[in-house]
Amino acid sequence: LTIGLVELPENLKIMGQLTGCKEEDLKIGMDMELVIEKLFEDEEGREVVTWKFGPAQAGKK
Amino acid sequence: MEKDVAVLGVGAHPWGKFPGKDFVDLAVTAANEAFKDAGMGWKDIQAMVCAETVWSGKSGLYAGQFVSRALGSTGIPAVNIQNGCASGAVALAVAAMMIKSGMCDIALAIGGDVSPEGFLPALAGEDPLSPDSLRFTAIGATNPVHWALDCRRRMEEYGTTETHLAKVKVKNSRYGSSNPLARYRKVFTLEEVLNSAVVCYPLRLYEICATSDGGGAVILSSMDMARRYTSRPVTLAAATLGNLVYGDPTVVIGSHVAYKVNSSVPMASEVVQSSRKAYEKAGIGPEELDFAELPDNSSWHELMYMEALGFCGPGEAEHLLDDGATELGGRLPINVSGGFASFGEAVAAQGLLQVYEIVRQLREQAGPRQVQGAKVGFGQVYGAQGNAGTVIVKR
Repeated sequence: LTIGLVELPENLKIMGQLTGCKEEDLKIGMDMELVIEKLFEDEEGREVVTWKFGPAQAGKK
Repeated sequence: MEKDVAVLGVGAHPWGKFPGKDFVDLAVTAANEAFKDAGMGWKDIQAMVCAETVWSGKSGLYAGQFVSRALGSTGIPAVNIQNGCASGAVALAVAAMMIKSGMCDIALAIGGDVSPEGFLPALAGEDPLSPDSLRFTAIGATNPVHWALDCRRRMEEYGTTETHLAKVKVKNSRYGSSNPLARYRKVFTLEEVLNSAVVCYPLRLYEICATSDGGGAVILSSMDMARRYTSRPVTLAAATLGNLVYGDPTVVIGSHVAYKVNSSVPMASEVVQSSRKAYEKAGIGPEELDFAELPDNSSWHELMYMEALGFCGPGEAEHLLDDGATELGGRLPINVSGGFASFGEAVAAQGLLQVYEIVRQLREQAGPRQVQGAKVGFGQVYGAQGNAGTVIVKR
């Protein structure tokens, strides 16, 4: 599990799980984007989602 | 003119795991040690301030009533304090205020704690509105995650290495090895620390404090009263408190998973607040301290706090460590008790344990860990949600 701190332009920092990237490819200062992803399935099989961050896709910031 | 306050006696229950003992047992042992140390008894105590423990159910929130009942119900006031891991120092500060105000001449600050095994859990349980549960359920962020995030940034900004982190543990383990109160007495080598399991990179198992059980007690009195008991009382030069400042960049445990950062606010602002007030109150600056007890919840903490407390400039802590300045015999020995690295944390009691060590040092009763000629000792603790207590004691 990889957890990071992402800084928004408004000087807001948000802690969250990081996704879509190998740990060794993560660098402090790299551009990230919000990803909504499954966290777990509850007892009735429903998906519980959470906020995560992944590397920003090219051409998009 | 404010009245001076003396530290008349200190006591502690050793740190470790003691199945079958509850927080009351640990606090009572610490109290009895403190009475012996001061040359008095429970009936001489006129007021008590007790750090609450949150790990012992609702009885832990009435810790003062439980402990005073166990010592004997004499009818004295018993105030309960909850400031997380800073509670011991806050209890001490409140006890000092009782004496300064003239409310009483002799007061006891006390705390006992039985910690859960492993990671400390969220206090709010499953409450979905509490950020302290949110960080566990939505992120999986245990306490060391917070420390690791700030530590990674430190490595990037100041060039802190994994070896620096291991060195802190090696240093503190050397002192803990000769402290009869410490839970861990093994002297670690750099290799052993660097080969220990990664808990949350870059922090390793041996670089993170354990969750322990322990108890501490400190008896304070007015100077007039102190002279009846000793010809050489030590003086509580400052016991000050601080709280988080809006915009603090530190990843604070339990208060939020998203927060605003203001570049003009320093890291560990609660500690900056309490320590600067302590320097002012005592008329003693960081350059005049003979030794310091810092909350090394992880190796990173010791380095970061050296800077937050003004012992050195930003990014300089590693140089002092490398130069041996923070070792016994160095310019400013840090954590000669062995620190949390050797004790582990016992939330309600650790601030009082620091005072125990400081007073023993000032009285030259620290044995092989003695800081030669120590006249001024410093203690710092911080608690979850961003609160802090600083203590300066002088001979």
